[in-house]
Amino acid sequence: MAVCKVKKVSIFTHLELKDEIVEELQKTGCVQIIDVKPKLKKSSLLDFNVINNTEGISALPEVKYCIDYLSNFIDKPEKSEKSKIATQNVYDYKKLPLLFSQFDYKKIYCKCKKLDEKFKELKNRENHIVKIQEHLEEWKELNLKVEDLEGTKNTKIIVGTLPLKDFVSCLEEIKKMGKEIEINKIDEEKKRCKIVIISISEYYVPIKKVLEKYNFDSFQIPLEFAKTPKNILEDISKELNSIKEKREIISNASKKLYRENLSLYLTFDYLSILKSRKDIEKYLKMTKQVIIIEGWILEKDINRMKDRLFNKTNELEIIFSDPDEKDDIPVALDNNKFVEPFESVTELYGIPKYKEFDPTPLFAPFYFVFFGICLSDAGYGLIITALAYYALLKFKLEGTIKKFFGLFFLGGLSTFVIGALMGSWMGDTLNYLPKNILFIKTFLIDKLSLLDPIKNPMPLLLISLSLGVIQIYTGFIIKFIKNVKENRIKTGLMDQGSWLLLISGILLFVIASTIGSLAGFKIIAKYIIWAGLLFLVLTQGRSNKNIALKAAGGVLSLYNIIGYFSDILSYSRLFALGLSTAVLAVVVNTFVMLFKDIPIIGIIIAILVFIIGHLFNMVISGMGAFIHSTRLQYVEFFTKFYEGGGTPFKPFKIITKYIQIQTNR
Amino acid sequence: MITQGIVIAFLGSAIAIGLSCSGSGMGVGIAGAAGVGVMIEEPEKFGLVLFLQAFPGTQGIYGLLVGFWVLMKTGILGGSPIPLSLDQGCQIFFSCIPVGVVGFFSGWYQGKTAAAAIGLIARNPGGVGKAIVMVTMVETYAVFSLLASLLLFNAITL
Repeated sequence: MAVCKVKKVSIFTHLELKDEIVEELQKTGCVQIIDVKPKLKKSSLLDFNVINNTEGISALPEVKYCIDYLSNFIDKPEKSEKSKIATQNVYDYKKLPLLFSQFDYKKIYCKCKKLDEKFKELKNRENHIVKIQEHLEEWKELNLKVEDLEGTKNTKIIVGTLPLKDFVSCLEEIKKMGKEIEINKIDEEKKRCKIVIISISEYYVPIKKVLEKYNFDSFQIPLEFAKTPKNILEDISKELNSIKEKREIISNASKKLYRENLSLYLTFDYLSILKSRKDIEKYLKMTKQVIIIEGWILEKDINRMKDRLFNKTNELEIIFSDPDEKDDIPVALDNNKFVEPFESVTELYGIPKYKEFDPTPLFAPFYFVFFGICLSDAGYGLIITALAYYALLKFKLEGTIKKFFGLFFLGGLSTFVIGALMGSWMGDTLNYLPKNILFIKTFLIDKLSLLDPIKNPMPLLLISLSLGVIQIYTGFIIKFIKNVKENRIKTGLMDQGSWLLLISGILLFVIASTIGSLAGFKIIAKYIIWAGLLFLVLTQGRSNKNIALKAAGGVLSLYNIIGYFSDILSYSRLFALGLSTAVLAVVVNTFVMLFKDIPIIGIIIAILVFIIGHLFNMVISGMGAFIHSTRLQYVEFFTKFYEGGGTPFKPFKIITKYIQIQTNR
Repeated sequence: MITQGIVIAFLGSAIAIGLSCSGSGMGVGIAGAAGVGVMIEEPEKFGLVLFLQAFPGTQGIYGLLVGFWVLMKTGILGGSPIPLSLDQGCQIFFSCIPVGVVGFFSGWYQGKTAAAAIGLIARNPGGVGKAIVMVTMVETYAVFSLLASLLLFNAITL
């Protein structure tokens, strides 16, 4: 169990059968295709020429474009409904080519493109005239036609704004130039005033120079329009309205186009399948007549693949071989239903190497209990379990996401059990039940619960620490077994055996000192401790050559005791998090009771506070439970024996984004 | 009746909540700024970034927890405070110090680590697991301080 056995598979077939075989492999979905490595030095193998100009594949970006464009026009309720219809349909693989050929995506693409271009054009125009509109709003008072502002041969007109404080001085400077200048102030705002200057052409340049000095902001003439600013503004608002109408038309047309063409999703997925099949061809090698496909396959899938390929054709040869140790062998995990969700935690850290063993079944029970202690509320546990179960049932989840929901489902169960043992049902909610159903409380708390961490926290703290001791113990034993399996019994005995001896001795000593009737074992425990210490000092410095260094290394290794001690202390977080969930829940309930007494709206606020408060506590504490249970595995447990760093097994298969496909024969 | 002890207990509760929430605020802020930077380029990482940003927020919750626990146990929240002696008040005050002070610094520094972790997942999404471990290492001390505060408070006879 655990890490799946992998075989290397080589498939030889006739060149003409290539498409058929690749298609069948994709449908079977159990081979990870890799580069063909010729074993002969003088190889006559050629790279397979990948031809990428097939019509279907070049169409993929076009279909993607249509989907992206049209999805902008889907109404919210429609979005969920319609896409459900499109995505929840299960299509038969055989029917796909037919459905694809019936669907004229080129036409849709042209339509989409046209609509999109028009839409963008309108948008640009709108932006443009809105800018002009804003500018002209400020110049409504200007009673001149814009086309006249250009001036004539002999006269020039300058329009713009000046800072109010500079107005007088600027005016004087300009007036000094000559008589043939007329300056009109048409309006005044907070800090700037609007002026119109009419002069003969000769003064135009000198006036401009003066104005520039005073930070003059000239009026931008919208040359594409005619008449006075007021008229133009009216025109613009008319045009804006018509643009709005046109956009509405386009938007409706797009919506209609979308509704009529849900097959776009199907087309996209079908084309992606074709494309992935083409992409895989770069791994293939060929001779003049024969094509070679190489890949990894899980041992359990071998027969299934054989059946399906030989069912297609007999003109092929399949060879299985054991993987070479130098290869980067991909890893797939295989565990029973209870352990499988915990694989997500392993995956997050890094899956094991092919030669390593899978740590998932080893930490799964610990994780299960840890999560429960951290959250430790029966009410929250029930809610999380129910939500996770609903999600697993309702959405067709796959891969890591599915495992995560499985993890929460199991975590919720554990939380429910441990919460019930601690008598915590949404905190102390049961205390506030009306009198006639108070028997529920009597039953749940008095009969079921074993300890109350809020009243007496010590037992839970001890339980947490003991769990830590047990897990670290397990870690040592696993490493020991690993060493033995790899024929390093001596290393195992020296490295792990000595520590096991020492830690057992210390534990025994602690137990013997606390429990009176076992006091006799104290002496034995002492001897065990001494034996462990001696053993450690003798063995742990053995990698050094010098005898003095050997001794020093041995003594120094005792420092690790502190490390293991702090590892065990680290498990006290289980207690702290468990208690914090319980206390926060009690705090929430206290607030609820405070609000309850407000007349009329009090009861509504109380209910709201109850729901939001407990939801908040559940989410925050749930996150803490997940993170800290995970961390205990990674930092305290895995460091004892686990490396990780394998490459996941990724079979070549049908991957769809929108629809579901059935490949059964 | 308001005794001197009650006043000191107030101070304790205020320290527990105030300091730890300040630390969390800083930490979440630092991590959030890094997260926004990542999302400029990769908005689809929002979920993961938010998850990492939430880490330094726990210190504030621990502080709030201890603060409220004090207010509840001393009856201040219910409106009928227990007449605490000066000694009891001081005990409560001291029991609030770990979660407040540690919460302040660990929240702040966890924010920095979380920001770095967010930077890591921007470049290498496969490193999430390890990034989370790094950030949780800081969290350890916040949890320990919560533990210390709870145990200290529990030892007080009211």
